[in-house]
Amino acid sequence: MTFGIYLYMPRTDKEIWQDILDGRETAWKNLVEKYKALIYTICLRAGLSMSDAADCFQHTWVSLYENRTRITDPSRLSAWLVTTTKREALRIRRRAAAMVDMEEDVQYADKAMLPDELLEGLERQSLLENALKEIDPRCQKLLAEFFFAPEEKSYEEIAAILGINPSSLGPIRRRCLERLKNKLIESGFPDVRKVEDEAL
Amino acid sequence: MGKHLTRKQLFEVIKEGKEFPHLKDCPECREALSLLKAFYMAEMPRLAEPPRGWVDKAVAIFPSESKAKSWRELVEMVFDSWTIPHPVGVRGSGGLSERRIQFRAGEYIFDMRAEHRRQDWLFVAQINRPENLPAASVVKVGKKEIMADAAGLFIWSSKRPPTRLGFVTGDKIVDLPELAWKKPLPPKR
Repeated sequence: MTFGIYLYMPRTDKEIWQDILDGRETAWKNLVEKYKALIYTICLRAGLSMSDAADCFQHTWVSLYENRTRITDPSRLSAWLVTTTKREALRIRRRAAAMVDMEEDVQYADKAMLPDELLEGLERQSLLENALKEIDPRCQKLLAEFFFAPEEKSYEEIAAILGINPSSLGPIRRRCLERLKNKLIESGFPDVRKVEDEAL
Repeated sequence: MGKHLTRKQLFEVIKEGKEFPHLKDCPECREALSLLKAFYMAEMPRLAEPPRGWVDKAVAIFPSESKAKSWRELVEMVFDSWTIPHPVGVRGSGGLSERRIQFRAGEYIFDMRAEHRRQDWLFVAQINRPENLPAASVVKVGKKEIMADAAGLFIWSSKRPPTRLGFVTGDKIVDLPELAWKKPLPPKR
């Protein structure tokens, strides 16, 4: 499993947002790349068809662009996107249901479809995946093998995949986790530090 | 110290509260545990990647810089009240506290009045266009962006008058030529 191309994006949402307000097209592109998977996943989790999911995805970005001067706290941009995508997805579902006179069923299903816990989980997952993209490719691969491979692998197997001595895998994993943790803290998730304290 | 905990064992700690003596002696496993706990790593499904075409379309929402540049070339100043000579007999800085400027950008007319007040400057801008063209949504004043009020006027104030102005309309950014705020001296005789 890979995490895609290694992108060097050491900048916070706040900084990216400032560049967007200054009219920098590349900043907008970075933002789309950063949150595309989160938005798309929410549209799919809402049970939309592919064509409706395409509308949901596109409308969310249009809405962000149109409301760009109203965003007061760009450090909460991912939460804004999650809420807007959810609203957009539910609006599309209702519109589709109205056409076949099933609105009541859909409103009932809405509550179960995108519960807050799921959205919070997806937002965290997005944060994690973005943090992983910001660390070096070797660490990306190592952590992917440890934590994301469908089948758990032994230290020896992972060492063989990465071409390193099994005895040095532990310290390298520790350094990689440290880098990931620092990226996560930079992104504004203090829970990482809190949970680590609890574990000690 | 023994072997590091496997992924399965780490999840047993999180989900079932199982205890492993190794954890007390191993900072690496504690670190792994903390991240797994905080982010439910490997419990959540990976996020799905949207089709590339959708992403390209979302990227294209933002007006491209090249389009904006081509517009910059078309913009011209059509009126500036500070370039009108004073009537015969009027001296001093009369008229310096107000300025009216008009730019033409294609079929758009950017019309701005500036008034120098005691503490700051007040600006009121209006952007006229033919009905078939999209309305201007935002006036750019340096890094700030000003939205239109209900009457379609862009109103703001600042301590210093702006040198860089522009506006956004449809998929275009229109950058106006840089403004100078020193009134030109009358020609020497």
